[in-house]
Amino acid sequence: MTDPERIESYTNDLAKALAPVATTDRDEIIREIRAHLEQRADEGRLTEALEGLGSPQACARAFRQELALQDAFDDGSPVRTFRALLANAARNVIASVGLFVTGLFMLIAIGLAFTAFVEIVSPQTTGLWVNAEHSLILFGTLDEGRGDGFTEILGFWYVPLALLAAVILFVVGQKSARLCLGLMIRRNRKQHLR
Amino acid sequence: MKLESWKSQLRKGAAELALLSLLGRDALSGTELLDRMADYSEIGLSDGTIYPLLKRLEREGRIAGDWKLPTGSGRPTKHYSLTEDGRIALAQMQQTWSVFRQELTALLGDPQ
Repeated sequence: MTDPERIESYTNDLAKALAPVATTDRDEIIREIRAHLEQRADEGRLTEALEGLGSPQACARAFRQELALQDAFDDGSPVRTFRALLANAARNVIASVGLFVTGLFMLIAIGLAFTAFVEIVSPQTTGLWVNAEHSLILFGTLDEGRGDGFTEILGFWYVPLALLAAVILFVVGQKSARLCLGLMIRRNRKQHLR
Repeated sequence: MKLESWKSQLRKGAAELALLSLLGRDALSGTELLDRMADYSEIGLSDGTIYPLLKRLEREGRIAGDWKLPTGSGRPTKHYSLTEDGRIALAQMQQTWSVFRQELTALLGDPQ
């Protein structure tokens, strides 16, 4: 295999391994690694350079580790944010707290959305329940016979209100996750300055 | 095995300081940085570690990269230079390193 073919093969494999990275970053990384390899090839040191870079997968992993938090923060999607917290939860307190708080908000949001759906199917058993005697307020579904003393106060209004609450909780959960990611990035920077 | 892990932690901060320090003097490409670091193998910068580190420093706004065509002929290469944030970070890191080195040397004694 000639030097240009080896460089082409390496950068192609690197591009595949960098698939999860944002396109602009990926293109810039490939361009720079290609320039590096071409310069080393001109110096007759291509083999040494390829050994130094490691396999395309290992090289891509090093980039992904450096960029993962910032990428997730910049991307802003709930899935990437949640995955970034999950990936760091075992070794970072902020990520653990963020994961717990976000998970809690998301679970309640999903629960509310689900009960809104059940309200449509089974309006008699679902809603916002009030027990004046015991000063209790519950939302969701009560099995028939267990609702003694409880009065449902919203009727069909439960559907839009539960969905609105679910959306608000989802947004608050997402904001909490981003706040934690931002704190982790700032903390990393401070650690590098110490 | 434990020694390698310790060295790896030690190198992570040192490599960043070394890079910023070199870029504080000149705008350099990754290849030029590696060539200047060739005699300092214990710091542990290699072809595989330098580019992810440069990428992160660039994202953090401490260095800025610029593609340049060499005068005469040749391929374009990305040259990095320190930003204002990078200069402040370098000054803080140098000061911290100086105190750290003095304290550790005092604790360890001068190796004969």
